[in-house]
Amino acid sequence: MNTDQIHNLQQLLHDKLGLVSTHQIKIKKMSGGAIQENWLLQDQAFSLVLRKNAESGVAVSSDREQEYLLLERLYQFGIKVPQPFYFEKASNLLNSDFFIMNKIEGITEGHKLVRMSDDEKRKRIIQDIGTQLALIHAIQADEPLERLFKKPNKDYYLETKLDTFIEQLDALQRNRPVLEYAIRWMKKNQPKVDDLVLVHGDFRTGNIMVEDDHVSGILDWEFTQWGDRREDIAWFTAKCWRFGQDKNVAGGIGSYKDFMTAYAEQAEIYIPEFEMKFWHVLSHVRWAIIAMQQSNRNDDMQKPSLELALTEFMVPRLEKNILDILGEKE
Amino acid sequence: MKEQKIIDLINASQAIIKSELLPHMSQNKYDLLMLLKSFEILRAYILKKEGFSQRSTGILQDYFHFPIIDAQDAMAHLCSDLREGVQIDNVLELLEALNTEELNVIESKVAQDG
Repeated sequence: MNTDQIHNLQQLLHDKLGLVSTHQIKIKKMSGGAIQENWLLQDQAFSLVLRKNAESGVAVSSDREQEYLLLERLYQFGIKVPQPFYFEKASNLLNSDFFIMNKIEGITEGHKLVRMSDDEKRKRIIQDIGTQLALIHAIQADEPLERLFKKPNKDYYLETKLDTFIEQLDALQRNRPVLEYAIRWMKKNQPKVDDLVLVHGDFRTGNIMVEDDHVSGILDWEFTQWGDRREDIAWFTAKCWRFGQDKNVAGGIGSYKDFMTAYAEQAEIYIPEFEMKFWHVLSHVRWAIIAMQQSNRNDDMQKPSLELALTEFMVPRLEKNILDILGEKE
Repeated sequence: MKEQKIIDLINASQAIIKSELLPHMSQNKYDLLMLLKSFEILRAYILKKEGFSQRSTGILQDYFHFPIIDAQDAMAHLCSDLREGVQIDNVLELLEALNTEELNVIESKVAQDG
């Protein structure tokens, strides 16, 4: 941010939130978040995060206003999200819709969480993660939520999702035979969808803030929608999100059993691990498509991003994971 | 221009990142690691692209049973067959073979280090 933007931001904090900032205010872009940008706004009296669009986005992620309204609702439900304070539409000081929320304490860095040496602590963490996910899935649809995300028909839900993958692949103009095969396999092996719940959409190690031995916050709600609960469970337990700790199926942090037992205690629904096969394939196909979409974003960027360029090269490893699942090696 | 000189340039670039930049620029560690990864991919691509192309074409040729002139067209044709559900014998082996060729380029350092 430039000097004018910083000054205007300080003015906004004062006018809209009653916060007085000093010359020691820290305004710093935070790491992570390839699709949106998160900026730390920190001074003696406050610690906030400003969230705005990155230079170009991925089509399926929700807009900032939608995410802000969702956070408001989730906060009211008692879900562990940052408290949202303020939203502003674009054509403002930042050339992007943005919102400001409270900063939650804790760590999100996946490579740190999965390498914690205290087994008992990791077990408590994974159990709390299971509980928190069950609380999200327990949220009942109401008018404010349905205004944000219209609930689809569960009978066509999966077929529509798989058809969307095909459309996205065609739009990407890449020849990915493994993904074609995986989508075909999924079409032939669709499980029954019992009910649609509110799914986070990107529930994984890296988006879960942990303080000591519990979840302090769940971040990045731009992919939230109504879906099958197994999508979130599979995304969290997918091999691609274990940060190299492949034996710890639950987010690289702990066992599927510990995670699911805690989930089931809250949700009164136990999803056995063998049910994850279909949903793990779906997770990897979805992530591969998003990775290619992110790589394509460089075409729209004023300054090319190395991070985005490298996402293209994640796809073969994701496809290897798919092949291992389908070949029963995973 | 000799290909080896390009490889030498990549090696020297990686060396300076590891020895001069990474130890002194912890704030930019992530960016520097991404740069190292990029150079690895570039080096592997330069060294292996001919073999990659030949072997991938060979794998596709085994599937189609006729000479492949354009590997990209052949890949598109394979994708089309898969989408339509054409019965393919040993399809997983075919896909794994193609995938292994790509991983040999993209994850060549992992392959080297074991």
